[in-house]
Amino acid sequence: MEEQQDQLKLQQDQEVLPKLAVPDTAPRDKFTGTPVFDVTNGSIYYGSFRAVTDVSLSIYENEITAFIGPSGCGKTTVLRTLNRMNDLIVGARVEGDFRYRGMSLYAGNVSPTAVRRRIGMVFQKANPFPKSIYDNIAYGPRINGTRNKGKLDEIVERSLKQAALWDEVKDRLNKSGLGLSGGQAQRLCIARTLAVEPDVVLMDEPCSALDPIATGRIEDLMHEIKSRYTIVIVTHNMQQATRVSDRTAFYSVLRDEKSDTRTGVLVEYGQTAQIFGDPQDSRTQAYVTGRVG
Amino acid sequence: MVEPRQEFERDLEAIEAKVIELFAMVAEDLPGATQALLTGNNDVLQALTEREQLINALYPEIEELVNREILLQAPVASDLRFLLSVLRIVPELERSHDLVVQIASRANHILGEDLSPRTRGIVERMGALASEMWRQSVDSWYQRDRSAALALEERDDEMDELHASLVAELASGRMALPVTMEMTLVARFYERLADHAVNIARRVVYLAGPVKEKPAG
Amino acid sequence: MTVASDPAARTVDLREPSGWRRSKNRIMTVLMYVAFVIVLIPLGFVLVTVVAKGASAISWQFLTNGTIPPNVMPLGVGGMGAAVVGTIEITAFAALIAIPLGVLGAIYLNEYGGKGILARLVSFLSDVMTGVPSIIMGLFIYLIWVVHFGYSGLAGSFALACLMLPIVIRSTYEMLRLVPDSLREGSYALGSTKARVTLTVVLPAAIGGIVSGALLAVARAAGETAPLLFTILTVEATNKNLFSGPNTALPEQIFVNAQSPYVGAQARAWGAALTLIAITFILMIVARIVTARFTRYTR
Repeated sequence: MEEQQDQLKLQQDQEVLPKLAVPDTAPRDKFTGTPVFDVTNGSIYYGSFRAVTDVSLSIYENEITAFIGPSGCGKTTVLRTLNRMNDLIVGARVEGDFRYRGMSLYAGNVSPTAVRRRIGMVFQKANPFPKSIYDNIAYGPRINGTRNKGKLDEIVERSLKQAALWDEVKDRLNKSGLGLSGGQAQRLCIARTLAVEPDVVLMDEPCSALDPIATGRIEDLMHEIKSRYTIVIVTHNMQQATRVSDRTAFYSVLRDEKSDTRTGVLVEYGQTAQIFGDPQDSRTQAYVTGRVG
Repeated sequence: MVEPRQEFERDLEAIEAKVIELFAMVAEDLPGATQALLTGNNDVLQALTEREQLINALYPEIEELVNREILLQAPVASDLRFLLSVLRIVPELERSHDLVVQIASRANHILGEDLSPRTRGIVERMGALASEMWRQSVDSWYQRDRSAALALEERDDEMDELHASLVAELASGRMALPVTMEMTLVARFYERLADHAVNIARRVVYLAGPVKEKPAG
Repeated sequence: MTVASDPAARTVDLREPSGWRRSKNRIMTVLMYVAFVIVLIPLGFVLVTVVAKGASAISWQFLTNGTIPPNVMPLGVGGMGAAVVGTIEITAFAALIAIPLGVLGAIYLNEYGGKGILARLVSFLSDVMTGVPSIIMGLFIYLIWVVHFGYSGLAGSFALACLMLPIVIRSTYEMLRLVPDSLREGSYALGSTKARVTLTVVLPAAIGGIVSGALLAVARAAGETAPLLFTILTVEATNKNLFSGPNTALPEQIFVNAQSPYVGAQARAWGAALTLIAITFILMIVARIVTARFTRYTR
C-alpha cells in the first residue's frame, strides 16, 4: 500500500517537472571503471547470527563510494570485511565471494596482514598511538622494513602534507600524538594510513566526531587524494555522501517477523546523483528524504 | 592552507560565468536587432539565429548544473539564493533572446522605407531604452545591486508610455495594414523585453539578501 | 523555603539548600576529614617512631659492615651490611624470575588466551595464589628445594618469586586491559601481526602501570620475613653467593634482633627497620620516575 502511494507521488512529481535532456558535457559521470572489489552474494555471520545477507556490489578504482543506511544495517560490517578487520571479532565468518582485484580475500592461503597493508582503514574515533607524531606516521613504514632515517623523514613529511597537516605540526613532530585536537588527530590517523601507500583507504564514519570545519578539511582531503587511491566511506551524514562520493550504496535492515531476527541487506547501489536525485527503490526514497530513520 | 569546498566554489563560478554569457548575448544582440529592423537588413538575422542555437544548448546546461549543485551540495544562505535565482532568471534570459530574434526577423516582413517618420522615431527610442534597461539589469546582477530594481521600474513606466504612443500612431492608419500589424507585434516585443529586464532586477533583490542592519550607535 | 505570594511572579530559590540538608552535608564532610586523619595517624606514628629510633643507628659502618655482631654487643660494632646485601640480592633475583614470568603470563591472559580453558585456569590459580599465606610459600620451597639442595639465597628468591608472581600477573593484566582496543585496531589496520601489536603498541602504552605494579610487588617482597625463614636460614656474615649457603636479610634480622633484650640488638633492629623502609621508599621514587618517563607520550 505504501509502495503504491510512493509510486503515485513519484509520478505526480514527474508530471509537474518536465525532464530535461541531460547534456553530454556532464564531466563527472563515469559509467565504467576498473573494479577494485567484487562482492558476490556475500553474507557475514557472527556465530550463528546473520548480520548481513546476500550483498553483491563492485567498488571501482579512484572513486569514492559511500555506504549509507540506518543503524544496524551492516554497512560497517561490510566495510570491515573488505580488509579482514572483522577477523578480530570472535566468531565472525563470511560466506560468498569477496574478491580484491580478482583475488579472493578469504582464501586459505591469504594472509590478513598482507591484506591490511594494501587496504588501510581510518576509524570513527581518531586513535593516534601514545607515541610522538613522527613515530605515529613512521609506525607503518617501520613494519614494512624501512629503517633508514632519511627515508622515514621523507615519508613522514609526504604523508603529513597529503593529509593537510604538515604546516600545523612540522615544528613539533616529536611531541605526543595525543596532544592534537580532534580534527588534527583524525588527519594524523589518515596520514598514518597513507604512509604505507595502500591501494584502498576504508573510512568508518571518519568525521562523525568532528566539527564542520574539520569535516570540510577532511572532505577536501578526500577529493585531493582520490586520484591516487580508492576510497570507501561509511557515513551517517547524507549531505556528506552527496558532497563527496561518486557512488552510493544504500543498506537497510530486513526484519524477519517469524523468527524475529534482523539482518542487513543492500537495497540500492548506483551513482550518487541517481541515488539521491531519483532513487529507484521506495526504501531508498524513504531513507534519503528522512521519512524513515 | 587549502580553502574548503574548492570544487563547489569552482562549480558556482562556472555557473556564474555561463549566466553572464547568456546576459551578454541578449545585451549585445538587442541594438543590432533594432538596427536590422529599421534598416531592413537581413544579414544580422543569420548571426542571431546561430546565437539562438547556442542559447538553446546553454540554457538546459545551466539548469542541469544548478540542479546537480542543489542535489549534491545541500547549499544554504547566499549559495542557495544564488542557485535559486539562476534557475529563475535563465528562462527569462532565454525568452528575451527569443524576442530579440523576433524583432530582427521582422526586417524580412517590412521594408524600412514603409515606416512613417514618427513610428521610426518611437521605435528608435524604444530600442535605445530597452538596451539601456538591459545594460542596467546585467550590471545589477553582476554587482548584486538591489537598488536597481526601483530604478528599472521607473524606466519601465517610460517604456509603457512609448508603447502607448506607438500604438496610438499605428492606430492612426498612416501606414499599410501589413506593416501596421507587424509593428504592433514589435511594440509588444520591446515592451516584453523591458518587463523581463525589470523581473531580473527584482530577482536580484532576493539574491542580494536582506539589508544588513547597521549596529546601533 | 519560598512562598509564592504572587502567582504571576513566581520566584525561584537558588540559595544553598537550607536546614537539615545543609547540616547533613557538613557533617559528612567533617566525618570524611576525620577518617582521613585517623588513617594518617598510625602511618605517621610508624614513620616517626622508626625514624626517631633508628636514625641513631645508621652509619656507613652500619650499612656496610659485613659482620653482624652477637646480640650482646652494643651499637658501633659490626653492622647490618650482610643483611642489606642479602635483601638486595635475594629480592633482585626474585624480581628477575617473577617479573618476566608475570608480564608474559598477563600478556597471554589478556591478548591470547581469551576465554579458553588454559587462560581461565591460569587466571583462577593466579587469584588463589594471591591469597596463600607467605609462610606456606616458604614451606613449599623448603619441601621441594631446600630439602634436596640445602639453604641458599636462591631458595629464598624462589619463595619470594612465588609471592610476587600473582601480584605482577594481576597488576599487569589490569594495565593491559586498560589499553583501549582502538589502539590495537589501529595497529592491526596497518598490517601488524598480533605479536607486533602487543610488543609495539600495547606494551608501550601499558608500560607505566606495569613498571609501577612490578616495583610495588618488589617492595612488598623485600619486606617479607616468613618465607625466608625456611629457605635462607640466618647467618651473621655476608654471603655474596646467592646460590649456595644460607643467607640473611633485613626482615629476618629485625625479627631476630628485636626479640633480644640487649640494647645494642634493639638499636640494630630499629636501624634495620629504618633501612628497610628507606629501601622501599627509594623503590617507590624510582617507580614514579620511570613511570613518568615512559608515559610522557600519553599526556
